[in-house]
Amino acid sequence: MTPLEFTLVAFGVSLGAGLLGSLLGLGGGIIVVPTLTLLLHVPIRLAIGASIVSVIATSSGAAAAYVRERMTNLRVAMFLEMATTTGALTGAYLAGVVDTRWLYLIFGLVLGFSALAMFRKRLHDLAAVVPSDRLADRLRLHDTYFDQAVGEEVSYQVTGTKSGLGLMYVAGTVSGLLGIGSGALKVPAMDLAMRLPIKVSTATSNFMIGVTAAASAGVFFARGQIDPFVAAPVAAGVLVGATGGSRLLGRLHSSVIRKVFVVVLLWVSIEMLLKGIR
Amino acid sequence: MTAQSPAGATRTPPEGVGLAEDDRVRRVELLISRLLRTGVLLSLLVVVAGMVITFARNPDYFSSHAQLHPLISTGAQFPHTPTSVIRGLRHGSGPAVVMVGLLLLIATPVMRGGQLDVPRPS
Repeated sequence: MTPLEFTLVAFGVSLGAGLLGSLLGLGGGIIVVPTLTLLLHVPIRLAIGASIVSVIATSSGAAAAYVRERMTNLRVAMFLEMATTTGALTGAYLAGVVDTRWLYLIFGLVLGFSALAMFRKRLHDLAAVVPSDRLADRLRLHDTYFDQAVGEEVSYQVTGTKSGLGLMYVAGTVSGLLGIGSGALKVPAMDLAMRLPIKVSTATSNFMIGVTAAASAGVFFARGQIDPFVAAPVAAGVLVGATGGSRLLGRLHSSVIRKVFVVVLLWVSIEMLLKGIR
Repeated sequence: MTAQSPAGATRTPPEGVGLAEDDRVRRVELLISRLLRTGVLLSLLVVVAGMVITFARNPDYFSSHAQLHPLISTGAQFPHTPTSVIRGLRHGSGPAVVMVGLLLLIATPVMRGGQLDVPRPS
């Protein structure tokens, strides 16, 4: 393959990964890393470095829209970012010292979990009565958002701030270690532990992913894991793909896509696991 | 900008929060939204420009198969410190321009952090 061919192919597969990622509600990173390593034989550390950059691009693009539609809870985001960025630094540090074998294994497991988690999306929110949380009261984390489906302003109470922080630290570590947004871990943490409405959880998770990824990207940059030749086509491709995917989303029956691709993702997850075991 | 938002008109301020602060929060929200979008677009333009320069200065990248491996292997050489990026820029190196774009992208979500100080309760 010539460098030109590589650039074009990397752009093409990243575009596909971004498209698929946004259609499935996963980030682009979790699809782009296996594609780069398994198909294009890019070393996994460089693939992770390229992926984290693309994660910043897509999450910032999506976050811009969510913030404008006022679905993001900025206070909750700022509060939890303390945990996610600390986690991201831990993860990015670990990514440089652990054996690549472990990167493949952990990646395979997280990918498998994320694929299965797509099926467990709750349809309705939990009971409106939530246990009161003094920290949430003091920091005034409770808020309202405009639900377009219902057509009215919905107010909600935030709880479980401490377990939320703990879970976010874990999510941040996974994000920094694997170069993914790890929205699949952040959304359930906010949704189940902190009882934020699912739409607010998604929007707020997206908002936090940018800063979290920026923290680990800084470490990766300094360590020389962000190869411009890999990162440039990947960042551009994933961003274009994800933007296209969000336009397509309304017109497709996502349940059909989900069923088809959960099988593909599980298969990819097994491939990654095998690469770690061999 | 506020007039375009469907939610802007219907929003009722949370209890104990004055209208003035609500307006202020809204302005910050719009500012953050614009900042994120501009940052992503700008950095992507720089990245693409860097790639164009890279290929323009290395004609053999179009045809040579041997050129690829050193670019994408574990020991690949590319600027990864602020000083080496600046030095590369002085020599008009394509990868250094790409790096500037990528660093701009990394800085985008961090820059919006500064804007968030405004809506905090006083």
